[in-house]
Amino acid sequence: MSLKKNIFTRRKVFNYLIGCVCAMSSKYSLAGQQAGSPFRDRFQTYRQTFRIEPDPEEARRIVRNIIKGREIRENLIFLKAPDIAENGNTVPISFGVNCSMEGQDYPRIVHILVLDNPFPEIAKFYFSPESGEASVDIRIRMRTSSNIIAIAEMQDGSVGETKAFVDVTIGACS
Amino acid sequence: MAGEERKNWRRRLKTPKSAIKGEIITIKTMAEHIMEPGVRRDPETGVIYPKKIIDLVICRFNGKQIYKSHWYSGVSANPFMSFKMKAISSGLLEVEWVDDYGQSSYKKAIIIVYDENGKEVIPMKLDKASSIKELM
Repeated sequence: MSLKKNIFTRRKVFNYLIGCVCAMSSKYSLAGQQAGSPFRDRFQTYRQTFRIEPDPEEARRIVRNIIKGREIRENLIFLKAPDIAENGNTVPISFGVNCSMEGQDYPRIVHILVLDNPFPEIAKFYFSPESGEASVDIRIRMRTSSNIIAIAEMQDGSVGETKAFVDVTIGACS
Repeated sequence: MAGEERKNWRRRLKTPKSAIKGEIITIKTMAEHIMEPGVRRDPETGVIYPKKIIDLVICRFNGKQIYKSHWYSGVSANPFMSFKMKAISSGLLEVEWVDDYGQSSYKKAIIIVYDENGKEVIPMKLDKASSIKELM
């Protein structure tokens, strides 16, 4: 009789505690997956089959997440883009980094972002001292006329940033 | 349909055939690919074309990775890219393109690097001159 009345058995209490711990941990792990965090990359590589609208706030968050409050070094990276692009499907851009590619003085990653695209991240470039000069030409897509941002993360931790405004007459759907 | 699929596989790689040691050479790459961003619709039926892009390009010289780039859907169709490389020794250059479906394709080129005296710089070290005879 006494066993039936006892609701809080040891097993039930343990199950309840484990459930609480799991719920708490999942809550914290989901809170870490804000937009602009590296988890967004996983979302991008996911086979996307729906239309999304551009979100400049999120683009700014991505830029903030790359820079992480570090001081921006001037004249480190320069970006060359046309003032007016007739076709948004192919906008030729090129960038270069002012550095001697020796020791720690080379860019680890260079990011290219277009702020008014629905997916602001366009490309990341990983360099090494063997690539004698960190300069790349590439062709990108732009939906509307907006700023292109290039951010260079050096191996020693310093950051450089530049902007260039491009006027697009016919936008691409990207 | 088969022709269209084959079209996505054509790759181009342009390098100088020879260089002087210490020179910085330009490598031009181009892949013929639709780079479907996954947001485009068929104008008649309204069906969304599924996403299909090249998302990784790796460049290796003599088996060592010297350059890599991740691409997202913002790169234009038939993506052209050119980058720089320092000529240290002659060897084999490989450029690999990887799809987001995991399909990879590569193109290779041989670059011969000469010394200031006109001798070829071989990418391996030989301790003794006699070691070649032993191998022969």
